[in-house]
Amino acid sequence: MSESHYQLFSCCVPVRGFARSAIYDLQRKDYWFIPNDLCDLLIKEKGLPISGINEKYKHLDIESYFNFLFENEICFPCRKEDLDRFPELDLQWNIPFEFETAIVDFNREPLVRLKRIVSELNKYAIPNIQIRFFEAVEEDQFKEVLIQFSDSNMKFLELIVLNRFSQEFIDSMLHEFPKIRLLILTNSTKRSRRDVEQATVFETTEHITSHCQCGLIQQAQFAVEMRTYCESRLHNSCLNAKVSIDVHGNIKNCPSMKESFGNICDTSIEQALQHVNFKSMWSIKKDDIEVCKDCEFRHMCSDCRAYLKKENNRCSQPEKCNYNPYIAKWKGEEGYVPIEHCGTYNNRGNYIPDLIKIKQINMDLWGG
Amino acid sequence: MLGEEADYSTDLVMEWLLYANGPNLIRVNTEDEITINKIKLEAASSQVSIAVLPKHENINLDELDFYFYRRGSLRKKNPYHPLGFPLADHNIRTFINWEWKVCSEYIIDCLSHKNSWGNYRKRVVNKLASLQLAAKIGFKIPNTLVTEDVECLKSFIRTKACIIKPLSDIIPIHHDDHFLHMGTKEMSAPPLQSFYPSLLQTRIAKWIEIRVFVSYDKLYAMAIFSQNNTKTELDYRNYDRSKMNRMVPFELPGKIKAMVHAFMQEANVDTGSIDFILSPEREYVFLEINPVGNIEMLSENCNYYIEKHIAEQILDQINS
Ligand code: SF4
Ligand code: SF4
Repeated sequence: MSESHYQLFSCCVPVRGFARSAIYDLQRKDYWFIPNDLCDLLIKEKGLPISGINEKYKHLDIESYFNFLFENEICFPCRKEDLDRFPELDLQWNIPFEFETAIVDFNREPLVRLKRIVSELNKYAIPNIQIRFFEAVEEDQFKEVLIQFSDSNMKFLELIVLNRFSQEFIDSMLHEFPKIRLLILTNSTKRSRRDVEQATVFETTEHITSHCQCGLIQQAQFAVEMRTYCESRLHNSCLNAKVSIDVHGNIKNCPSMKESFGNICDTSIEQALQHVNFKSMWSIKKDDIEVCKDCEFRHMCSDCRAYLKKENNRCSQPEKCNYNPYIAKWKGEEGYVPIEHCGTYNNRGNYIPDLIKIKQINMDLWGG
Repeated sequence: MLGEEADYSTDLVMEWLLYANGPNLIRVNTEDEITINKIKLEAASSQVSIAVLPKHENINLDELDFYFYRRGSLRKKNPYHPLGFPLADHNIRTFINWEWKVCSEYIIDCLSHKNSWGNYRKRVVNKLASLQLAAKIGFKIPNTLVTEDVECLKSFIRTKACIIKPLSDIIPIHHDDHFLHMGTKEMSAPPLQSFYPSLLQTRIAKWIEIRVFVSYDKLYAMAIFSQNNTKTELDYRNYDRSKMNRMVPFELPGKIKAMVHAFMQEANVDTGSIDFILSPEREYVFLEINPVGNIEMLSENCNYYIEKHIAEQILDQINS
């Protein structure tokens, strides 16, 4: 009846990468890098007693591995007969909505199609709406947009707009429209953050002038979290449950995607949704994406489908990623080489890693 | 649907119902002010209609098909100064509260006769009675003593390590800057002054804690690993934010599931959360039940989607 075995806490999930792996702590929203041999052991040797693992993996320092796992409460010592009491995480992701996010982009004249857009979106309960203004708007135009959207079904509003308003005006808007949760003021003279009532206001010196600036893959945006993880395992981590209307009124998965499913002026969102291609984008999973499928970050990352390394492959890696999972290096880090140096693309846009070369680079980088 | 304003699980149940193109919903919160339009009783029939302020929603009880009770009650402020007596007069206040209680409980009872989820009349279960019932069902319970006699208390704490905890529900109490922290505390020496009747229990050795949420025939269990954390060793509600206790899905043995259902049936409650200690000897020690206990913690940590299932249970009933 001794605690001869171990059990992973089900909120701690190992994610295997090519050069190294990670354990995601979905409860405490954190992660640890682990070597691949430990990751493989955790996945393969479920139910084996620790002594048996010691026996089988003589070449590894099992003791220090388990010290690390127990210390960080990734695993717990467990009796054999208790192992089955701890089921794995039930991988499910559900929302009580048709969509979770809508992106609406505006150029110069936001009011032209405003009523039509809002009345279409209003047919659905959409928790988050993100509005991006790519050109300067007047105060009264800005306010009119807010009035229209605030009457709709949505819960939260995020705004990206060129900073030409007084702080007084901004504060009065935040007060009047409590649904605003995030306001990003671009083209500002300085960078700042302040919390006003329920909202956070960011000033950034960046100029955001078109949807082309979307799609960056940055470590700062990684999210280790239960819902994100489940969604990423089951669906596309960017486009799932998203609907967008670009500056011309085209209904798309996201404004940066090429395919339009009709214009809001003469097409309903419902019609657009019925197109087979619309929801097919929602189900492209990170585990199927070239290169990403070898990356230990894949279920905390997001998956841009608009800007791809190889246009002809719908499962190509996001173009704006600067990480090379074959050698575990970010661009800018010492020893980084792009993935193109670690393999080749075939004519269907599939990435073929050059294992011998990768092994050589990793030897030089990390030793034998 | 009757709940509290900040009641996230009720929000979620509502969203799932709306998404299913389900029924028209009326949400009443305990914070709302209720007005009685009429409660009209006649030999052949009766009519009950109330209004909810400030939403100015009129609710005709006849028109309701289903009633969802999460927590809270129907409330009314006491605006009157009847008979010119000041409202500060204790008996006047008590009297008016009683008057309102008759109305509000009658309304809630009318609702309860409909198809429903949850039960206002069973929102609290007597802690002592439930311990006794749990023991009868076959659960182990901590040795329990209620006393205000110092000698009795002394002999109880002499033999074993003890804890002291409230008999009733925990409510926040502030006085000036002082915040009274209620919960489970260790009891090693008898108090110096005389004391109010207090609940003492022997301290149970713990492997882990088990929180079970029951919604009719459905049962959800979660393991809480609180023993590694001195702050939460006695009471996992002393949350330690920096190193939150591990809370993971747990599969109860079939026998224990059956006992939980038997307990619920005997206690005549349909929903609620039950706390157990799982001892190093793997005994399930019953601690308490809270019929209006927290759902979110289980739902979120274990990815259970309990609120979705509740909505499905409601829809099944409405459509059957
Ligand atoms: S698919 Fe790419 S461009 Fe489109 S919203 Fe997602 S990250 Fe942005
Ligand atoms: S390779 Fe880049 S885009 Fe793909 S999962 Fe890793 S970090 Fe994200």
